[in-house]
Amino acid sequence: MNHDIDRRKLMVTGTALVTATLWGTPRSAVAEIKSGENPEASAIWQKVRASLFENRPIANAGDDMLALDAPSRAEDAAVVPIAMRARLPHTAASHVAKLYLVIDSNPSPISAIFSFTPQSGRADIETRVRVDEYSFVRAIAETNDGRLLMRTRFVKASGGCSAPPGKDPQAALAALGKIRLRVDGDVVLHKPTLVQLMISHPNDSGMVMDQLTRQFTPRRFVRTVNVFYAGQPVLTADLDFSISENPNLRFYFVPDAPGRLTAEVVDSHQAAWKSSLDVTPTAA
Amino acid sequence: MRRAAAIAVLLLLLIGTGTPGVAASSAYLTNQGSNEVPVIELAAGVYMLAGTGGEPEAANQGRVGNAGFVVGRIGVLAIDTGTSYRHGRALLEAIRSVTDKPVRLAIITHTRQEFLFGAAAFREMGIPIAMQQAAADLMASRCDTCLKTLRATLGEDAMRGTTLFEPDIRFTDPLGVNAATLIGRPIQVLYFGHSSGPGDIAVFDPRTGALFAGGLLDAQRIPDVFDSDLPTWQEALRTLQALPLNVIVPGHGPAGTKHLITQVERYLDRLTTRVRALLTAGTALSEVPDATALPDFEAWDQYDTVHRRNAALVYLRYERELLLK
Repeated sequence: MNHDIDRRKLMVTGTALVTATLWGTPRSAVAEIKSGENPEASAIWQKVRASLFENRPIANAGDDMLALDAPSRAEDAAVVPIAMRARLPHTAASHVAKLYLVIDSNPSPISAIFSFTPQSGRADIETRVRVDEYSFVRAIAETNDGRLLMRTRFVKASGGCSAPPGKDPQAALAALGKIRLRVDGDVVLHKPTLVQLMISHPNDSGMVMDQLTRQFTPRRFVRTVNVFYAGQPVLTADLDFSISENPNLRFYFVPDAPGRLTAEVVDSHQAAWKSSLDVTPTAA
Repeated sequence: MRRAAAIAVLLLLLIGTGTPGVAASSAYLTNQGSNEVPVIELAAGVYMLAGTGGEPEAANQGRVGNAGFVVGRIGVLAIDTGTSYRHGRALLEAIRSVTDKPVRLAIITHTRQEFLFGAAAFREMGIPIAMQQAAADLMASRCDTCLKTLRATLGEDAMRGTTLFEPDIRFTDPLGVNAATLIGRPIQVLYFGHSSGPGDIAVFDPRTGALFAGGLLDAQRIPDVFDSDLPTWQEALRTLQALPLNVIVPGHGPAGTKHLITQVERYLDRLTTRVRALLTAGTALSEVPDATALPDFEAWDQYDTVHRRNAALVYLRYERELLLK
């Protein structure tokens, strides 16, 4: 499946780029990243682009085609809300099939790949990510006929004294994998319906040292999320450890009859969890 | 000393008329770019060493937080140690301009950089540093990073000689700090559990009814909820309301009366009520900072930054509670 190829690419790229963080980048490139002036000049982006899209053309999209909502100055570097919203028609014949989220300056830049189906109703997703200090954030939309569109934003996230007081690791472990599915507003037949999916998971990047114990918390994060409605896929998310603690996804599906919304979550330790919600849409 | 006393008189007059902010801002101006720290006498033997407010930046040398001291019969208790080694030295000089009695102990009220990093100057003079155990642990777990960031912000010159340190006295029971014996004056260290921060304490001088509130209270500035346990903090504020307080030195901003407690209570109440309503309504995190606008607090220092972050932080906490239910 197409999806498997993407996963392989994500992992290969992830490993290759782990060492190519800001500190390993030449000074001039750092200056450009700091200024946020020239998104194309990012050496990391050029590598990511080559690995994901080879030489395929990528058009710069306007708000009428693709929106990327990101704060220019993030409130909290560990939890930066990012939304990617395709504005093209979403039909069986023509729709945005994938949205890629790339954060240039993160240790593993390819942060998420979301796959949509006609039953998604919209290629529209909001999630939360970690951003290291300052970075270009990119949304790339791929249509079902293979066109690529991109939006770029520059995000500054201030670190400062960013470690909060220690949390209770026992309580977090006890709640690991707990899923909460929520459908907001009136659910109307054949209309895109907003879903909120919350997963209790520390999503440890493996790159944070506990200054007290001088130990790195081992890497463990949510890798895939599959959501079905009445047995049909509506969202597949391939995620990386750029996603914040307690992964949170907001997305759409179209109910054509009463049915069960099911979310399946698998993490990097191959632990799997599942949750369902029965949905009864009303006529328009 | 003469100038400081004049400011003090002015401040007390204004506290009397209920507008303490005006006096303090004139005191703050004199601190910009100079090494001298404004000394404000609030009550007999009780002094505030005023910070500038605002965000740490080169122009204010990061000296944004307040410190203070209490002069006893035989010695001095210093409360908080400033932002940098140099700031710590300046605080000690300010104390010296008032009294020749020895500083016997410095107590740090909470784990924020502008209250901690001057400790090296005190320790150099042989003055022991006391911290609540949880505050000391939090410092050890994160202040390496804070110090690096602060050095980058303020520059090597302003930060020269500033180092991380181990407190000489770690206490869990406030009675474990015998400040009263050391300085020859009754002093109470108040600890409410994990309130505005895990090891936040306040220092109360029962003789004058003066309170050094540390992280528990800010004046005309958005209190930062980052390190807090909100219910315990609100409970601690109710406890403070019941104390016989005449004058309060907040962590940031001008000294005031019990009105400061009421204002912080009101802010926390409005913040939490608003954020809970947003979570119930299913509002996305991206919209929360804008949707939590509280015009009544718009004029407060750090409204555009800390308030927005507070909104997001509280939202995430309530969301987590929902997930763990």
